[in-house]
Amino acid sequence: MNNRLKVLRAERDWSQAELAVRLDVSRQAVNAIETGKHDPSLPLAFRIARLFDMPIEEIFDDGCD
Amino acid sequence: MPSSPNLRMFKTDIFFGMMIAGSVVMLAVESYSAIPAVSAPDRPLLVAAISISAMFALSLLITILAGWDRHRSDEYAFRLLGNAAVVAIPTTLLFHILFGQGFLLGGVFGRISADALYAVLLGSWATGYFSYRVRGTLA
Repeated sequence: MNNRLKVLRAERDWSQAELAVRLDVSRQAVNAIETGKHDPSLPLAFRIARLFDMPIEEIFDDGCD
Repeated sequence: MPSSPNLRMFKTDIFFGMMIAGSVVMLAVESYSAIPAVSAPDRPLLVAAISISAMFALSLLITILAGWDRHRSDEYAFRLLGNAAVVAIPTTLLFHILFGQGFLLGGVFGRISADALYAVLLGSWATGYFSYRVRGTLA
């Protein structure tokens, strides 16, 4: 699943560690999501969407239209 | 005080690294050990009943504890552990088929002990963990 997490994080000038603290996950989890090595659970996806104040589908793209 | 986001996974990495080292040492040491014969229990029906009950009771207890752990753990770490367990269980079963019986490799090199199988379980779990850690949980 593609996502814009890295871009959104960069726009706010946050490090991976800072974003990890805000989401209450490990930095490695943030890195794995950004690099497409891990798909977040639905609760975490919602936390990410709330943090960036955006709908989930504007952050994550499963490639199906 | 919550641990830093960098340290959370680092501790798991260290733990599984030690697990690999431990399982390798254990397998090497066990290769030199004789397997003591286990005689049949005096009360086999009772032993069977206790074993079966313990299996179900412990499974249910671990299910509850795992659920509690899942809510407290980093979901990425928990997914890694779960995926790695899927690697470890069939690996251990296959290892038991190959070495645990009197035929196949067990007939050639001798059967392995329960402790050696335990080492295989831990080692394959840790290997699976690092494999998914590098390749990602979607691999």
